[in-house]
Amino acid sequence: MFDFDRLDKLIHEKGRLAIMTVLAVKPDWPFQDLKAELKMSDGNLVTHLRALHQAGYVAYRKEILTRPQTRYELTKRGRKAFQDYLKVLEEMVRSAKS
Amino acid sequence: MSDPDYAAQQLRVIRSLMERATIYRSISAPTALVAGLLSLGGFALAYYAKHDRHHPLSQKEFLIVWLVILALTGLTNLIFLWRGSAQRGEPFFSSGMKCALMSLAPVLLIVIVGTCLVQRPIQLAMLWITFYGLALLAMQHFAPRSLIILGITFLLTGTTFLLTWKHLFVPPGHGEPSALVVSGIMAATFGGFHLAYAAAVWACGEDRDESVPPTNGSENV
Repeated sequence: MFDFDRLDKLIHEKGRLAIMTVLAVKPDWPFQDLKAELKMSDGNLVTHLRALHQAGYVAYRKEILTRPQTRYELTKRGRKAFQDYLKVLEEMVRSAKS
Repeated sequence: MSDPDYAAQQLRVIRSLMERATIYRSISAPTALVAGLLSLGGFALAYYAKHDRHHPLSQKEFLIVWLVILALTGLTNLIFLWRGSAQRGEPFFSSGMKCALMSLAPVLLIVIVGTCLVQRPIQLAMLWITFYGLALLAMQHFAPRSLIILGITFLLTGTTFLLTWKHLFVPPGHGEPSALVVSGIMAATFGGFHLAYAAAVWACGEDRDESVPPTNGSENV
């Protein structure tokens, strides 16, 4: 039996996992692009981003181009947490094969 | 569901999300429309040269006509890519564009060298058709499905022509097809395929997700 406690509970939630995944792929995401990519509501996305930000996984910066925009990216800590999460999942699959 | 099954499913979800997030459309539907129409224009020019000017396009003229069409299409593509990146608030040389350029570079190099070496229109056409398909397929890891299908279509068509052009396009008693026939091949492929691609992208709404306009939302953390 695999120890599920090794999975980062914060990332494990479906919405937050999706956010972490897309942020891991591309370094810099405007809020509206994240919302369109993940098809989440404003409220849902903001809640998850706030949780990830409080954990130190996600950083953001505000900028004004033609209109105000908030852009998000993974922090070093966030990237490490995401990589660790993937490793745990891979271990689960490998342990079943061996 | 067992633990390993669950883990495998999670990894599949992550992989599909990653693939979706890295999609980069290097040729937009409007560019394909322009490319298609310009290619038909190229054929019209060859038709005019043969029937109104009474002097078919020479090898040099054929090359110039299609290089001009390529240049105009390339310029149009750059404009649409620049507009798209500006709308999304991304730098023009985004990670997607860098990936696309890196993938295209080897094929592009061969095509440039080949174009310098080859002179006969039919050889040029087959070179361009085949290697354009290869260039599109070189981007398949981050290209949308429609672009991959376009690449496969060009590659298969080019390969088929390479094998059968003497039987398909050379009239009895002639050594090779006329510039008009080769222009017809170019119009059918670069014209017809691109118009079909543009129509398919618009019909399936594939371009919608890529052009989501930025709106003011409650976007505070």
